[in-house]
Amino acid sequence: MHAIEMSGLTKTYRARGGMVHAVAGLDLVVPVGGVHGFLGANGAGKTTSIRALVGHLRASSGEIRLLGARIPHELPTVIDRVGALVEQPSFFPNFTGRRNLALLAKSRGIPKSRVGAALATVGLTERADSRFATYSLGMKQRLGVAAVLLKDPEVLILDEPANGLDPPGILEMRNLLQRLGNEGRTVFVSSHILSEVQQTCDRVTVIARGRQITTGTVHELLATADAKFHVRVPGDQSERHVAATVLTNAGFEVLLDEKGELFVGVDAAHSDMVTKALADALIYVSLLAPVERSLEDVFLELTADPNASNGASPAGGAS
Amino acid sequence: MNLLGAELWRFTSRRIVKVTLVVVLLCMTGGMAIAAWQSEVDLSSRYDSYSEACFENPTYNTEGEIDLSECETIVAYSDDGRVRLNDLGNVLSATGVLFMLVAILVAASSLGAEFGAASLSTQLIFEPRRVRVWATKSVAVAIGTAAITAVLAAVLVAQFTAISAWRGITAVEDGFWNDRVLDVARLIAAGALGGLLGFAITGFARRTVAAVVVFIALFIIEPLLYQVTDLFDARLPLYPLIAFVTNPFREIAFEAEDAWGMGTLADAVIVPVVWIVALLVVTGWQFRRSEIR
Repeated sequence: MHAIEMSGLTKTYRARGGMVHAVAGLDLVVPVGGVHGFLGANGAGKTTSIRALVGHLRASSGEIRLLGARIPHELPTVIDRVGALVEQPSFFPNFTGRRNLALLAKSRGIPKSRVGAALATVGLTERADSRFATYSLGMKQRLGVAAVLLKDPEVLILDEPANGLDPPGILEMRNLLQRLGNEGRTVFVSSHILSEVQQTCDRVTVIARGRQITTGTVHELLATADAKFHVRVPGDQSERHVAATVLTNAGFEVLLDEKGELFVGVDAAHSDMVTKALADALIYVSLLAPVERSLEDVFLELTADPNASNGASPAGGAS
Repeated sequence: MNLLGAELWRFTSRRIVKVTLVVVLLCMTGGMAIAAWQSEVDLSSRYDSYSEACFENPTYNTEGEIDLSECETIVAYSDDGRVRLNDLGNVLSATGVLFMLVAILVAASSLGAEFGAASLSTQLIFEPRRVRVWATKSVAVAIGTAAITAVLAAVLVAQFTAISAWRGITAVEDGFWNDRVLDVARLIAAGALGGLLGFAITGFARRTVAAVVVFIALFIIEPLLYQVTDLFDARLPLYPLIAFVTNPFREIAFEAEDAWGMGTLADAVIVPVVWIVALLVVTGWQFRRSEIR
């Protein structure tokens, strides 16, 4: 059993000028345990998918399972094992943070002691007795995460949890998510802060235009993306142009950037062919180094191509 | 029970509930203080015997009115501004309309605030059974508004009784207290019904202001419709509820047209109850199906 499964999830809205496909046949599998990133640009369908996952909206078609329970019909059977923060944290503005959490705890028969513990975990103890309306965006976000932790859930669904947090807050959030993932819980976190995802998540799923583009571990994603090597040859700019011509003729994909630096698209296993091709032309390589790629680079590459999602939704998306 | 407990806690924690309760209590106390101040103590010995004699064994003329020939000073008695415990029934009926409006306002504000703060989305993460959530909220509102009305009515009765004992007249009809207990019970029921009506209409309107506008419109439109045609007699929600509070049916000279077409107190309660049940079912169904933000 997986923590989260979505199969052919579709959500369509009527709008002026036709139908809007917010989610267009999304397939997603989140295994139990660890931190799973859910990546997509604004309007890719992340929040809509999460809202369908927690029963806040009904999918137009497709199937969703959460801890094996069909959503939305069987959601009540697993709700005590699931915590979620969807979009902006929504609480009563005139109640204190503590009272807002205490009300939620009481509605589910959760011991009062967990309220204090959850507030302490997110670093809100000192401001727990201030009105929610007086909280900064980051504090509201922390209270939202505290509400998620109240149930001591097996699965945490967090929609942009780092929104509004300052750098120390982001670091704390990253450590918290990693700790929760290491405890054996499943943390499903949507984000478009890719550097955070890269540092926090074990696995990621990338979506665009309401469909999955790719999924896997962060390492797999970085490895499967087109690898590039930085090639440096002795001599001036004309030597580099000659080297570029040689490599192009040898069948390599070559890029000479505006600074005159030479890059070759080749995977690590075949990088020796670059030196051989140049040596055959009596050009000797002084540097051949793999270009470090970030998740951001991979994400931008994957989501830039409209055909990457096997025929993306023509009507665009909404998040 | 956890959910109901949480809803009641949420309801009673709301600032508008506390502020409204305090404001109405202050207004009532102010009104009572004025009534006490205006009461003519010096005249009490002079008029007590007349008024008590008049009300202990009243005789009625053929039109159902008290025969004034047996208590000639009745005009002077009416003008002396004294607080008479025997008038408590009328005071409860008149003030009960205000209590019911308070219940409607508090209930509308309570649900309107939830839609406004979008707190339902967080709440449904903890209890996703929406029909249960909706039903529990409506029960909490009914209990909460009934409790508010009970407090207000109890304070009114206590203040009125104390002032009539201090500077007024305490002589009462037979069965007076039994009737007042029924009056207060009716007011509490009206408070709960008013609260539910406010809740149900806000369920449609989704905003407190919109719900209040609907109620103001009902206040204006309902009597106009009653005047234009008999078609709506005993069919609209608000004025039957008012009739349930004011209870004109006990008047000897009562006619159905005085109570917007309703003949009995039962009519006055059944009409709003049918409306409230229908509105709660429809809004509950709507809430079950709608997208939550």
